[in-house]
Amino acid sequence: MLIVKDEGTVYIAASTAAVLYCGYMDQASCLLPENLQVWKVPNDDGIVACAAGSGFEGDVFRYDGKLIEGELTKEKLVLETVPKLRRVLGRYGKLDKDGDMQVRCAFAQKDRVFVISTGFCVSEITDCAAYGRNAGRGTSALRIAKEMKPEERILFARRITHENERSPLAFIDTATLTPRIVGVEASGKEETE
Amino acid sequence: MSVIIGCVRDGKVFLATDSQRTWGNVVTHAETAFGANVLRMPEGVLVGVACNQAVKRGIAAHPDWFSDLKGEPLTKRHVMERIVPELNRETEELGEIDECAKEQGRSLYNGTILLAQGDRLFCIDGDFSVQRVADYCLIGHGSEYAVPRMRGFYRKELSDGETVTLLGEALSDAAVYSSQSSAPFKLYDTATNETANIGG
Repeated sequence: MLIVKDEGTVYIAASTAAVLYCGYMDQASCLLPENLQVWKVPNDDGIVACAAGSGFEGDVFRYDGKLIEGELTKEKLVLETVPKLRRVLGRYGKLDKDGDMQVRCAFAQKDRVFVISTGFCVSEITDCAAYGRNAGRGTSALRIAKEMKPEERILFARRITHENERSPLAFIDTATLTPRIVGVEASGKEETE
Repeated sequence: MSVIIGCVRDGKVFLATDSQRTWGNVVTHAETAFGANVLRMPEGVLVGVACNQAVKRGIAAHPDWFSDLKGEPLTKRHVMERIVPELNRETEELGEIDECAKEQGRSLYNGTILLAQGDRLFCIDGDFSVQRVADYCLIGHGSEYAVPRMRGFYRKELSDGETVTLLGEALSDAAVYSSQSSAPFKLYDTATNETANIGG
């Protein structure tokens, strides 16, 4: 998961690669809107979300308009959203013996973005952040690419952290509120579909 | 656990599967609808079940999971909000949840399921996540041996007949290497109520 704040808008990107536990799915399926790990929370409050690293956690919440409503604040996430995450994920056996979940979630609205860690800590991101494999490298890459446009910056960081991965990224931002796919050609040039 | 291949075509979905039933070192072949890998449910839904027999019977006992579609198309939302909670409960009651994985927060049931209706195909993976399938999906023990045939030769431009031939060949590939998959192979499609033999 890669997050960038730029001129009052938050951009979040996640991988589109999906692997089944016991099976195989064609790669075009990974790009279907309902399978992306980013989505707009289904209410009128302009909140976007990302649950990167697992399909289930995104699936179980993507249709819940009451997961987070109104103005996005850390207090609301801590007092309302985190308990709901714990309750629902616990019901499905998705909390480990320490009570931690297996993914990180991000919620963004206008120019604010918060990340909920696997241990349910809520942190506000002030500039940029990378999570997942090679996260340190990714965060540093986002920082040094500060002069680039947000999507270019994220794709630059992606190239640094996932040198051999060719699957496109799913993007969403707090201005358009619409998921979109951004691919990487073999030449290393970026193109938008 | 058998191999099932779901393939989305123009206006319909094919589900192709082998017919082997495996109990330890005993192997039979399902000749009746009761033992089949693909269940016919209300609202034109086909359910391809790559699980053990207990889970399969648990699903077969619940046509109500689908009858409340009431003429509406099957959607990922319906699957997540109506079917997955019931499947989770059913597999818990049957003791089919992997307890070691559950301790790590990765609750898994022992299987994978395909749901098909009209031209829509969904996969409920072992961790209860749901993927909508654009072109094709292979599930079950031995499915990895069938992947090269599908990935290498399947194209949307193939005719239905060519696609059915390819599905039979892919199942044959799986049967070569998998001890849990063997001919005869069966083809179901969401457009008709018929079941066809497709080689092997």
